[in-house]
Amino acid sequence: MNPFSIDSAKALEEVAAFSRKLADGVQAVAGIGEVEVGCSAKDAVYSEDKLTLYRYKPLAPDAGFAPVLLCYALVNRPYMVDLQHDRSLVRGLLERGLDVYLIDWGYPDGADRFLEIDDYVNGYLDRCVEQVRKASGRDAINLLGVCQGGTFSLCYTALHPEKVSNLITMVTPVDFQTPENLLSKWARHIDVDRMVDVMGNISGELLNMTFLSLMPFRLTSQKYVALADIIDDSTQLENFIRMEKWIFDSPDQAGETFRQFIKWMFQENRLMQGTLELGGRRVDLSTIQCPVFNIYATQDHLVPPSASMPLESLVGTKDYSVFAFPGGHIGIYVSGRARQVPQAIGDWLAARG
Amino acid sequence: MSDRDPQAAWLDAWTATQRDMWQKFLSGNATAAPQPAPGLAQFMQFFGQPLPESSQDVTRKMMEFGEGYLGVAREFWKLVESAGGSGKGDTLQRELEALRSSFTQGFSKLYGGGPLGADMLAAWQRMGGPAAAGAGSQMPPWPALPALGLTRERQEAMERLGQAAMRYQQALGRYGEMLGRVSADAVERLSKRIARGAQSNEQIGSFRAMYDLWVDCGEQAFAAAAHGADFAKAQSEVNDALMELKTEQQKQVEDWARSLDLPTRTEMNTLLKRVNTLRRRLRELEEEVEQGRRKRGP
Repeated sequence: MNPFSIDSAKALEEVAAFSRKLADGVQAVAGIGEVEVGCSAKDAVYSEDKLTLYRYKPLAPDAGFAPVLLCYALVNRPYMVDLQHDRSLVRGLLERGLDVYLIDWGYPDGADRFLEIDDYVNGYLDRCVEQVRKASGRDAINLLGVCQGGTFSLCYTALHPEKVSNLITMVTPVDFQTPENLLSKWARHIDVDRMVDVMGNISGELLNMTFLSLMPFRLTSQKYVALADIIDDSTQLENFIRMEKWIFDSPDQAGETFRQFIKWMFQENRLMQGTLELGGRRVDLSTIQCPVFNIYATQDHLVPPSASMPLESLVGTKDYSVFAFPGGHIGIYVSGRARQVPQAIGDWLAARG
Repeated sequence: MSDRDPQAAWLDAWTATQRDMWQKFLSGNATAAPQPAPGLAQFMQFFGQPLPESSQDVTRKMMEFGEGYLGVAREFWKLVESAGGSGKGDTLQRELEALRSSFTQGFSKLYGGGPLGADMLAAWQRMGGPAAAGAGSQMPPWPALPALGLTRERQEAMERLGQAAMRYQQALGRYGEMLGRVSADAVERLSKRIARGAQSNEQIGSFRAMYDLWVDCGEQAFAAAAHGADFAKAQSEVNDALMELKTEQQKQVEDWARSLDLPTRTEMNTLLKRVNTLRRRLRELEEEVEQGRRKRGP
């Protein structure tokens, strides 16, 4: 039979409707105005170089737990965890009476090109932990690491176990060489030494191009065509623009940190092999004895579940829990089901006092 | 005089024009196929009201891909027309072969050389900046001549630059070929899906359904290639070749800067490393002082 059931009248109707939506869309986007990101009130409590440590204002009576320090990745901006009122991990935690801090790494520039992973983990992150410990009067805090920030948090907890009472990792890679990991397959072939020697810092645009090219048809074409479907819904349109702003708000990466991350993690898989050293000390994940809550996304194309799940066999704790979120790397923050995540974190922390 | 928003009036006119062009095209009365919405982007650029910063990129992409989509729809209609009346065995296969050819040409035109190639290659070119833009035109005039005399080092540097430019162009070409094969595979998969749908009485009822099917096939074709070692090697060769080219250019810029007693990147790097070392040492000393203070007690 004919593979198509499209006659000229139907075709004209469809094309005319699409043209109308495209024209309406131009007007609708223009009418939305500047979108705002980051919905929860917060105060800057510490800053150093490009870094700022924020403390969020409470939204509920104090639940009495140690503060939660959010350690975001160096890639993209941390306001993803507090994007908008109805899509905010931070808000979900605040509503459960948690005291929430967030590290904003800022935008590294040429002066930061020689910052190393050691500077981030044993330097910036440690000083932020110190600030939170001092402010709360507690010896140990809850550390929540996201993506690359999760990898840093694992390193930190292994090196400073006395300062972390509970560790939560979200979409965090541990095994960087699993077969599903396309990013890893590409990264393993790159001459990263030459790249960093030549470019210094690695541009956010290059990283974005790489991430988008993991699924080029969907991420660079289809989603903009599909925009026509939501053009009449100003709320959805605004959400779309907000997400776009986040996706393309990409800080450059400090060159040396990028070199070490690609070489040590993707190419040599040192965290998995137990051969990573920072500041002259071996990062041994088996020294992590505090409770660990590992959250991964089942459809994550950037950090596939297979990259996160091996954590269980590496940490020394007997209190290891896992939460498989049904969604992708970004959906874990902004999808309709994203509310499950702060709920799960809150419940997990509450069970540990 | 009408107080109608001039932008809205223009968009109305553009929509009406599109409809008229498509009506003629679909009825077979058009002298030429409707072009993919010419003028919308240009209009916005010159006459549209200033857009909020966060909306500019979305608007640009929406217009770009919307216009592209209408171009794809035009190609789809050719397929629909060519499939009309066919239905069995060889006839259907012949039609699909024709559709396949039409798709390949259509998408090549739409994306300027390949659905993936244009975007990704352009991104590499942007990353390269002036180094990539000039690549290929910087071959030294006599690359095979031995370098002699006072200008020997200069000639050797130019030769290295030329060789690096050539390596980069070749790498880009091989990468483009690989992306072209992905496009061809995507079309092949699409043809098979259409044939399978026809055999199982699952007709495609809209341009949009066809487009989504194309995207599915494209992603499958891309994934099949991108996970392979050949793809990763071709991609990394583009990167490595570009880095070599930039290295040679940087050397020349540094020579020039040194000759004018201007600061160079190398000197800046040395200074930044020294500052970092000093900062680390200072922190260590501060910690030692703090520990000593703690030991002594309050």
